[in-house]
Parts: sequence; C-alpha cells; structure tokens
Amino acid sequence: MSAPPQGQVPTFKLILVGDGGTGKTTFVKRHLTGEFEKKYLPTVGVSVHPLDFHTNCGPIRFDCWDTAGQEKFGGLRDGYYIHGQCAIIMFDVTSRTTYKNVPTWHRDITRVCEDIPIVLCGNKVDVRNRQVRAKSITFHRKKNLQYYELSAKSNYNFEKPFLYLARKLSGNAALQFTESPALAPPTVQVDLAEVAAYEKELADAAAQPLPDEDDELLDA
Amino acid sequence: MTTLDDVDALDAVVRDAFARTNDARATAKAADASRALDALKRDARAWAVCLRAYSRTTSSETKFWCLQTLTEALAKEARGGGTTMSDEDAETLRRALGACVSEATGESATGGDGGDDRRSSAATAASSTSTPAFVKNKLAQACAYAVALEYPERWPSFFADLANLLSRGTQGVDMFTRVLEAIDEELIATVDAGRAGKEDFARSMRIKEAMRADGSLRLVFDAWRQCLEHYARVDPRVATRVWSVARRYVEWVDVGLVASEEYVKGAKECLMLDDLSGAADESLRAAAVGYLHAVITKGMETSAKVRLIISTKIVEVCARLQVICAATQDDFDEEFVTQVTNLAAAVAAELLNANKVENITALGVELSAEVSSSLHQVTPLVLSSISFKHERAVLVALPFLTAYIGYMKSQPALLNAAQPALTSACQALIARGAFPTEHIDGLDWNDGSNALTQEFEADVFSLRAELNVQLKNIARLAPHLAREVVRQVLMSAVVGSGEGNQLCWQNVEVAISALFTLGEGADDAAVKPMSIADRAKATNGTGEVTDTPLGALVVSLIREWGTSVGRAAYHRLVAPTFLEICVRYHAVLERDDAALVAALTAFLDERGIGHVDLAVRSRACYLISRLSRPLRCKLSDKVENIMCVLPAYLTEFARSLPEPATQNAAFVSVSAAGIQSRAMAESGNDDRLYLFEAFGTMLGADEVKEEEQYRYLSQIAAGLCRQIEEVAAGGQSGEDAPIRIALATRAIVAFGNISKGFSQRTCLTSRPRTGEVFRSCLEMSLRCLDVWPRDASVRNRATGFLHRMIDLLGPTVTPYLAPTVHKLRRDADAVELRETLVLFNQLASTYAAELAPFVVEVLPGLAAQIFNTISSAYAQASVESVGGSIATNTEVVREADELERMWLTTTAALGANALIAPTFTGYPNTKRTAPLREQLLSHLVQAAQSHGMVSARKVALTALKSFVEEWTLDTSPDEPPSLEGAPTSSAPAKGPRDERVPGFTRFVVERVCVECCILPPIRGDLDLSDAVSVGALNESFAILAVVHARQSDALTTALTHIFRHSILPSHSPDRIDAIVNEYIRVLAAAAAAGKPHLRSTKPARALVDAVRREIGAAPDRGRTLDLTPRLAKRGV
Repeated sequence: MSAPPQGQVPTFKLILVGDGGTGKTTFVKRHLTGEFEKKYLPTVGVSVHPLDFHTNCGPIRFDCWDTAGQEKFGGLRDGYYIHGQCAIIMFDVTSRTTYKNVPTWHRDITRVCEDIPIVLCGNKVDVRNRQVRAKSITFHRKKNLQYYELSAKSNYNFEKPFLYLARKLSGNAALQFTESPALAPPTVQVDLAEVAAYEKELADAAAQPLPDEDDELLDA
Repeated sequence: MTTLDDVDALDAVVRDAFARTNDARATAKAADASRALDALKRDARAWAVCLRAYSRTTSSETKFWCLQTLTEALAKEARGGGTTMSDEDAETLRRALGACVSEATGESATGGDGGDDRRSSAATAASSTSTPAFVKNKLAQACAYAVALEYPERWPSFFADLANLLSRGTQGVDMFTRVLEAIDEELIATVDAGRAGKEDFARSMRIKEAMRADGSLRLVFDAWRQCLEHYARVDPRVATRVWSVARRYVEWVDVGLVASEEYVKGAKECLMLDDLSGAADESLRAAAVGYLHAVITKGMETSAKVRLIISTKIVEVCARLQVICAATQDDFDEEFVTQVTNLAAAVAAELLNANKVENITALGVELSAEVSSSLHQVTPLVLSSISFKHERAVLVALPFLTAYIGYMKSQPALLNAAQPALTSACQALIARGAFPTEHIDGLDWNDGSNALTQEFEADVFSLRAELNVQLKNIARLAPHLAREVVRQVLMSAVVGSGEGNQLCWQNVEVAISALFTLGEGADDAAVKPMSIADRAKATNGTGEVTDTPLGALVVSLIREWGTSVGRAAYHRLVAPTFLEICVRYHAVLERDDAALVAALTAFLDERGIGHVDLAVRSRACYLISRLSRPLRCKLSDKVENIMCVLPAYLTEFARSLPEPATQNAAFVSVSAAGIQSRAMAESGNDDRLYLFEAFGTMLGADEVKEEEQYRYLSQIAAGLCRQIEEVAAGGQSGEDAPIRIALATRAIVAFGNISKGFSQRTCLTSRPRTGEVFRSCLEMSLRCLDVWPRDASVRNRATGFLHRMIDLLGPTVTPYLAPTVHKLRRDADAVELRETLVLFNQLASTYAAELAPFVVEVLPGLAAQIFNTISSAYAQASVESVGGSIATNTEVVREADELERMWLTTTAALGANALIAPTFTGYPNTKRTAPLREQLLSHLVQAAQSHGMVSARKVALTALKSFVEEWTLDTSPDEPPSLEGAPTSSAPAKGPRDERVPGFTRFVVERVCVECCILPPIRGDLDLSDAVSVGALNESFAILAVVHARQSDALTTALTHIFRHSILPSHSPDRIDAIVNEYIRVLAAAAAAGKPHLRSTKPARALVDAVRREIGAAPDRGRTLDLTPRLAKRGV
C-alpha cells in the first residue's frame, strides 16, 4: 500500500505501550513489513512507524510510537506520550505480570494525555498455555477502555484496535476499513473454537460484578 | 557538552530527543540527544539543577523532562529512605516546588535561587496562562513524591501550603486537586491494589495516619466542600474534578467526613434532581453520582451501612435520577446513565445483603422493616435500567439481577412477592435483546453479506447472550412466570405489533428467540423426550403424554406460523430462528402431526432450504438433518410429499459451489454468540450438503416402503452419478478442472451423507437392491480416482466414502479393494503412499483374517514401492547434501520418515489382526510372499535395533513380537494338565511344534533376541526415564519372555555366548553365568506375572542398569561389539 502524501491525510499520534516482550513491535511489524518477528529484539527508547488505513471516509494515518517496554531501554519514557492522541496498552496473556502492570501503564498515559481513547490488548492468544484467564480481565471495564484479544502471529483481530480508535477519533461509529492493510500470512492458525470459548468467558466475566479495587490483578 | 545551566542548549537537546521522523540522520540525532540527557540525569544533583532550569525555560517539553528527572530522583530517594538529602536540600526542594506550583497556577515565581530573574519572569508570564495539563500532572506527581519523602517530618505544613492555592481561583483549585489525585494515585491506591512492596505499604500507612492525625484530611475535605459550594454553578468543570478526586479518598477516609450532611447535601445539589430539562451539566451530575456510589459501597458494618442508606435518603435520590434518565435517556451521556444505574445497583446490592437472614436479625425490627421497604423500592429501579439504550448501563444492572435471583432461590417463601419484579425483569431482558428498529446509515438488515450489518448483528447477539443468561436464570427459578412472559411477548409480536399482515420482524425475531432460549436446559417434556419408563410412570401406564404448557405454546406457534406471521417469517434473521425452535422442540412435533406438517413446510419452502439468503439456506439444510434423525419414523409416511420438493434442491445444491468466504465470515461465526453461531461444517465443506444427510435419514427408515425407498434413492444417486460422469468427461486437466473436481467431490460427499441414514442390515439383508445402489455410487466415486489420481481432495473423499461403504456393505466391497489400492499407489509419492497405508491398516482392522487374499495380492507390490520410495528419498537427500552428510530436516526426508513409520504400523497391524499366518504360510502364498517376508523382517530388525525414533523402535518390536509368537518353534515340555484339566491363566501361549518358516527360530534367537532386545538397552540407546522408551524395553523383554518359554536352552546359550565373547570377555565364567541367570530369572518372573499390563518394568530396568554399570566398569580389552549408544530420540 503506497502511503498518501503527508499533510493531506488525517494523522494521529498513537502511543503503543506495555511490558517488554508483550509483542508491541511484532504487532506493528505485521503491518509494516508483513513479517512475523520470531526473535525478540528489545526496542530502545521509541521507534515511530506510520500506519496507513483506508476507510469509507478516506485514508487515515496512525503515527505509531512503539515505546520501549523494558525500563532500562526507556529513553524519554512518558515524555514520548506528550501530544499522544490515542493509545494501545498491550499485555501478554501468557504472562500474568504483564497484565498486573497494565494499571501502571494506564496511569502513565492518562497523566500525560488526558481523555484520549485507549484500547487494551491481550496479545498471544494463539499460545496454548494461557496464564491470564479471560474472566480475570476486567481492568478495561473499570476504566471504560475497549478490550481486544490479539494474536500478532496469526493476524487475529489485527485491525480491531485501529478500527476502534479511528471511529473514536473521527466521531463516526459507522466508519469501516475499505481495504485490508498489507499483512503477512498468518504463521499459525488461531483455533476458532478456542477463541469462541474465550469470547464466551469474556462475556460471562462482563456479567460479573467488578472487584472493589484492582484486586483482580492479584489473582490474574 | 550540554549543561543544565545553559537553558537554550537544554531546550535544543530536548527538542532533538523528542523529534521523530523516518529520516535516518534525525533518528541518529535523537539517539544522541537521548544519550546526552541520560548523561545529565546521572549527576547526583541533577534534580536541584532541573528545578532551576524548570523556572527558566519556556519549553513545555523541557519543563516535563526537568520534572521527570526530579520525580525519578525523589522516587529513588524515597525508596532509599531519604538518607542522602540534607535539611538544606529539603528546604531547596520545598521552596522550588512551591515556586513551580505557583507558576503553574499563574502566580509569578519568587522561589528561584538567584538565576536570571528577568528571564525567569518572562518565562513565568508566558507559561502562567497556558501550562499544559501534562506539565501540571507531572508536577503533581513530583509533589506526591515530595510528600512521600518529606511529609510530615520535614514538611508538616504541606497540605496547609497546598490549600493556599485555593485563593488563586480556578487555576489554584485545579492544581490543588491534581496534587491530591497524584498523592492517592502514586502513594495510596497503588499500595492498596497490591502493586507495591512492604516499604511502600508502610509509607502509605504513615502518610494516611499523619493526614488523619494532624487534621490535613479535614482541611482537604473542608477545602473541597468550599470549592463545590462556590464552583458547582459558576464553573461545573472545576466541581466535576473535585468530585472525581474526592471520590478516590472515600475508601479510606472516615465516614463521618465523606458522608457528612454537607457533602451529601452538596452532592444532591449538583445532581439537580428537579431539573428534567437535560440542560444541567451531565459530567458534574455523573461525578456527583460517582461520589455517592463510592460512599454507598464503602466497607462498613451492615447496620451502619443501612443507617447510612436511610439517612442519606439515597433510594429517593435513585428514584429521581431514574426519572431524569427515563425522561430523555437517549440524549443523555452514556457515562451519566451508567453511573446512575451503578448507584442504584449498588444500593440495591447493599440492601439485598442486609436483608439476608444472617444479617437481618442483627438489625432489629425497625431497621429490618426499613431494609425490606427500601429494597422493594429500589429493585424496580435497577431492573428498569435494563431497558436503557446505553449498553454499559445495561451491563451494570445485570450483576444485581444475578444476586437477586440467587437470593430468591434461597428464599422460596419470598418468590410470590417478587413476581412483579421478576416479570418486569423478564420483559425488559427480552425487549432489550431485540434488533434496533431505527434506521442506521449504511445498515441493511436484509443484507447479511454487508460488513456493517454483520458487525451490528454480532453486537446484538453478544448483548443478547448476556441477557439470556439472566432470562434462563429466571426461567429456572420460576418457569411458569418466564413462560407466561414469553407467551405474552409472542402474542403481541405475532398478533398485535404490526398493521395488517406486516408484522415488525424485530418483534417476531426477539419473541421466538426468547421461546428458543426458554427451552435451553428446561426440565420439560416439550424439550426432553421422556424415556419409555418415565413416560409410563408419568401417565399412569397409558403412555399418552399430554402437552405441557411450554409444549402447547410451541405447538400453537408452529401450527400458526404459516398463517399469522406473514412476510416477517421470511426475514433472514427470523426464518432460521424458527427452524432452530423446531429442532429444539422436536419432541412436541413427534406428538402433533399438524405442527409437524407446518414445521416441514417451513423447512422446505422459501423460509428454509429455499431461502434467498445463502446463510439461511445452509443453516436450514443443517437443521433439517438434525430434525430428521429423531423424527425419521414419524416422517416415513410423509416421504412422498417431502420427495416432491427435495430432489430439486438436492440437485441444485450438488451442482452449486459455495461462494468464496467473505472477509468477515470468521468474525461473524465466532462473535455471533447467538443461535446463528456456526454449524458443524468447517471451511472447505458446505452445510448445504447436510440436506443429503437429511434425505438419507428420512429415506433409510425401515418404515419407508422398499419400493419407495429404492425409487427415490436410485433417482438421486443416478443424478449424482451423472454429475460425476459429466465432469469426468472433461478429462483430467483443463481450465475448468478445479471446478469439475469440486463438483465431483461434492457428489462423493453427498453419497457419503446419504449413506449415513442406512444400515448394513438394510443394504445386505432386508433390501439388497438398496445396497446395489450404494455399490454403484461407490463404483462411480472410485472412477474419479482414475480421472484425477493425483488430486488430494478426490483421493480423500473417495477413500473416505470407501471407508463408509466398508461399514455399510461389508464383505461385498472386497472386490473393489485391490483395484482401489492399485489406483491409489500408482505413481504415488511418499505422502500418498502413507495415506494408502492408512486405508490398508483400517481395512486390516475391519476385516482381520478375511483380508488375507487381498493382502497377498496387494502387499508385495505396495511394500516394494514403499521401500523403493524411502530409499530413493534418502538417496536424493544424500545427493543434494553438502559435504556428504544427509540433511535430515528436508521435506523429502521428513515425508520418507513418516512413510516408514506408517509402514512399521502396518506390519504391526498384520500381527494384531491375525494376518501373518494366512499371508505368509500355506500354498501358494508362501511362495508369493517369501521375498516380502524376508525384506519385511530384515527391515523390522533394522528398525528395532537402530531407528532414530524410540516410538518407531517400539512399533517395530511389537511387530516382531507377533512374528515371534506366530512362528517360533516351541520345544518346551508338555505341562501336566492341572487338576481341573484347564491350563493355568498365567502360562504363556503355546507355540507351534513344527518349524513353520525354516530357519526362523534360529533367526529369532540369534538376531532378534540379541540385536534388537538385549543390545540396545545395555548400549544406552534408551532413556529409561521416558515412558515410550520404557515401553520399548517392555516389548524387548516380552519377546525374550516368549523365546525363553519356547526355546529356553537356545536363549541361555545365546546369552552366555554374547556376554562371554563379545560384551564382557574379561569376566569370569561364573560372573557371566550369574548375569545370564539374572536375565532368565527376570524373564521367568515376567512370564509368571501373566499379561503384559500386570508386569512391572522395574526388574527389567534394574537389570539393564546393573549390566550397564558392569560394562562401564569392565575393561574394553577383547570386546568385539561396539557398545556406543545409537541414541533414539523421544517422540511420537
């Protein structure tokens, strides 16, 4: 997909945060290079990638600020969030710690960017030994965030966070992507039956009362 | 080198560090800048210099970076217990922070330490009006860490100093709330949520205690109260912020403070309960409601909570808020409506908890009466929230309903009184699950292929799934009540919701979906066909089941479906739901002929398999196949009528290929958690072919007349055969070959689906003509292998159908087997040969010894081809390899490996299915299969002693064991008969008394026993901590046990020889005898233990371990055998 000329396309600064190794860079690279990165190369500071999408309301670009998850490679850290217009917080469903740290990432973002649309993403749902149960994922409900389960490896739900953010930013709930972004073929197939089970579990969890505070993070 | 004193240079570096473009030079510059900033941060006094730089710069980014550096330094100092900061430093920090805060609120800074005053003033003037929120929040965070470090010891007046900000107007209040929010967020909430360590916990406790003790909390709450009084009308945004932050403190601040009369009054004033115009500030209202919610859910003892609810008159507040929401809910902000529901649900939940038996008795008469009355008032308020348009508000109300239903379950006596509430809940749950009737741009509910429609549809089904959980809960608690509500909804939807015959499809759909939901898990004869015993019991032996009320409701709906619903019945979302109902409640159709006819009509016309929408057609085909199975007897007298309609559709579906899947197909199938969820068919299949299964099921019933059965079956089968002939006539290749292949495989799948309705008895015994039809279908499907021998789908489908026919037509299929295997193996590659072997193995397990003629005919050629394929693959890999070593990870080698393993399984299958003797012995088979026997046995010996995969070794040993049992000469003396004349159960089976295959016994003793069973374990090939390896060892000892039972002397001699001359030549003869005797002892014990599963592997493992140790300790001198391990990898 050729990028539209700069200046003519509505462009939004998107902040991508989450613990190290949750798959932020891999997720972005699915769009950029169509390549699934099996190796883990920690991001140092930040790396910015323009991601273009075509919608029924015209093209839209997200300048995706892929930030370092590991503190030691932080660079300007929350300084990168300045002027952020939307955000994705990513955690890894196979690592409880990464979900436990979601509130910290959320707090860091909202401290710098007040009232921006944020999507919470649970990545690596293709992996068998899931550690964060779908029913424990309730943080998004407390903070009124959108939540999606992803698998960067299989392209599962790849476009969903972007579609949600595009709709929020444009104020048009009927906005649709008219072209699929250039993605690599999936490296694995997500087991749809298993995903359906997770979705059901998520729906069941939504019907449960929220824990008092962040207690759910403890037994996630 | 940048220094913090040169503000212009610092601004430039920060600017560079923040800049991000795709330009490599700029990126490198940014990295350099980041490194320079990191270097500045490393200075121990950086925080103090940053504070100075903050006041002198006008760049927000630089200010942010300065504060970030300060915060990190303070956090680090706080973690270290504040040991490095002197009193002088603390004073500097206090003054500088004060100056920063002042500046952020618009006051000129005076707290600098003598820098460039002129420049500083200019900076202040510029930034006072527009300090960005991100700088203010970072400053608030820095203040929070200053509190962590200095309060109360060195900065006891922190909160009093902070409160001074309030005199500076909205900017001052704004900064005041930001700092308090940061203190809670950074120091208290984090700790309460368990995301901090012990030190953080102690610090949090210390700060909270100090704030309580020195009156800071009262000061803060008084300050907020004054702000609220002042700003609620003047500047609602300020008041909104105050409520939001005050809410955070409710959890740990004394209830007398947070729920004081002034606060509750203040909250009510902000709610503007009498203003129904919708003009009041919704955010302020929502924030005030949120505060009240925090107060109501604050942890406290039950009686105190009840008193709080009563004294605050919160139920009345909820009622009035509900009126406000109901008045103009569509126009209201989602947040406000959700908060209102949240508050009502929280109040109701607290009252429900207080009303529980274990709590209510402690409350006393007066309070308990109040609780009961308040609960009675608030429950309908929560339930009415289910009707709110905003989905979040609906979801907030549902958990209370769960609790309420649970409570009613435990208090059946109260159920009567709860009926009105439950009824309205049921009504609301059903109504809220309906598809929206208003127009939405770009959305067409008639077009299921539209992406937007699919998305909205998924949303409706996902919400409905949650509503249905509650509906089912109520239906379990009070079935009659739920049924009555559904009846009324049905009545109004089907009879009264539209004008004339134009019913609103949304109403019809939601009503019949509710009826469908009611049947899930219902303990009712309408959905649970009774067993004969139950039926006899329930009907006093008459066996006549009168319909239950639910059954009657279903029957009346189905009977009148054709006449009363009109066009709505044809809607793509209504039609399949009705069909689902017919399947779920098929038990009532069994008893009501008129309803059965009505249901069948719907299935067979444009509301079912003839629907314009492909998805509905497919679903109808799947559902009719489900329906026809339990009703096949009942349908037998309607076959003629059904067959007037069905053949045309069957022909159409056989000949029409599915359209390529739309982009959103997977999304819909997964997310639509309603009854539209995917059928059993996966991609590559087509649900429409289930119609053939329905056809076969209906026609295959014994009640259908033979003539009728034959006529229709042969008619459809002939059509399918014709279809294959037509597409096959086009030849193997050509542009349209993929389409012709798809059509051929569809016909084969259709054959298979039809056959599922028939039994072997019908096809072979009672109605052989039916069997003839299937035989012709089989012939036709096998012809496809001639035309497209290489096509995987044709091979799979044709062999799949062959399997089915083996079950259905039994031995009459055998003439087709050899030619089919010949076709399958013609020019076959390793993968195809492997599939052929799968078929072969299944044939062996089905026919066992009867398959012998086929095996004799087919196996020699097949085996030769397999050995040839395997050796060519390795030869090719060898040629392609670099440096002479074979690359074992290539696809060719992997396929060859898999083929070899399948072949080993085949050889084991020969033994397991009693095919060894008929295949390899007796005239003329011996002669025909002798070369195969030699090749097979030598391959088995090779695999058993040196295969790289331990699982393959085990299979080879299993196969060898069968041959050993079959042919090893038994020279053991005849045992005297036992007293009862029966052989003892633990004795091994006797072997042949004559040599069936000349030389075989010697081969077994010298090669199988020694090379395959003795040497590999003692060489260390097997990892005995692995279960599969232990399994292989077990097989080795099982073979040795058989040989020991039949050829004891020969085995002893062979063991002695190998140990004495080849393995342990330096050992004394006595020691060798001891080892051999140990082997014999273990084998005798194994034989005495009887069946293999009764044997313990422990003695064998211990023996192998002991021998290995002995070999390890002995000198190599004179050893003629290479005892280097040929490691076998684990794996299956």
